[in-house]
Amino acid sequence: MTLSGFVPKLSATTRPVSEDRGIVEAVKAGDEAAFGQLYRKFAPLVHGVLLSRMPPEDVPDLVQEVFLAAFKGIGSLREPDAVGGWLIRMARNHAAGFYRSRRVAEELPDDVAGQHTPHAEATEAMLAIRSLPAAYSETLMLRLVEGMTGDEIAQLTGLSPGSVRVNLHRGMDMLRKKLEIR
Amino acid sequence: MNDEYLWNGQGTSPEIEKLESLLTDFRYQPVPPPALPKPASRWWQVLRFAPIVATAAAAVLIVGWAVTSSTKTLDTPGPLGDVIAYTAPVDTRLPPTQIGPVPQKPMITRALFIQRPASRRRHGSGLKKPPVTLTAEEKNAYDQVVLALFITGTQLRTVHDTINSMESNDEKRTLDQK
Repeated sequence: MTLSGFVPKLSATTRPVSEDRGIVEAVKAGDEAAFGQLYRKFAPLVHGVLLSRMPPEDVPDLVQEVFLAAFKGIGSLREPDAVGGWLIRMARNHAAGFYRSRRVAEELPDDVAGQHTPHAEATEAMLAIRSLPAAYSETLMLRLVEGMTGDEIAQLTGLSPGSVRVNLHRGMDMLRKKLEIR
Repeated sequence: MNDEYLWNGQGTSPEIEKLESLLTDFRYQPVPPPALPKPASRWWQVLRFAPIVATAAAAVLIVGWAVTSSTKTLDTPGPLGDVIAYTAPVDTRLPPTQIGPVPQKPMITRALFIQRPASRRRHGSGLKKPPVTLTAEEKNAYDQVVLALFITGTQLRTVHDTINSMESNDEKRTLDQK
């Protein structure tokens, strides 16, 4: 009898926790190169989260703002391995602040509604995803717009692969119904 | 719907592929990270604490002045000794012939001082102070404190004298004008 039967199997999605920790610790020490590394790794995640909450044209600027705020506040991050979830919370807060400060009232433009150009369809699909509950719209943005796989979404967000899978399926069902109605 | 395609992009799903191609324009375009704020210069870091240092210095000066002035007062006892000095208030509403002390609580017009312990009194007790031995470091610190208090006291005295001379000049001018 071998002990292998008692050893818990690591799932394929288990991530090397020390990688994010090392980057975060270096950023805390003021390492700009490490900050660049953090930015390259998590910018698509922050972009996707912001995209699910605000107009696409404002997202790139806010991504930069989120990372600047992250650099300033990274000293308060107690668990470096949870940096993805921390950045997501920061992005959500920035999106909320964006709406508070500018009172954006976004509606489907008249010239887009009812048209069947690729741009109109894309805008319609984007608005349909954004109208879903946050958990579904964020996950679908990361999958359909940012092109991440389910495993990558789970790794970056800190969610379990099971939760991501559920969010993707339920979100996709709701999105299909919305697009059929329109 | 192809579950595998939705999960990891493997296989085919025309519906999801169409959505992906529609939304590809919104995908993140890599741009350089934001310029980080430069750390504050050393001078600024030093100057940042200037108000705190100034406040602390002022507090030390005030305490020093209070200590020196109280010591001086204690050395020159008032009419009732060096414990409590006060004068009874006078009721000025009465005519001059009836002016007298009002039997009320005495109004303290001078500072109220706690009586010195007997061992520290100059006269009367006859007790000798125990010899105090200071280390070189303590002696140095003591000397610095005394020097600081001396300088502060001198400066305050100068200000006090200046104000007094200005007031006396003003009084002279007023009298001359009259």
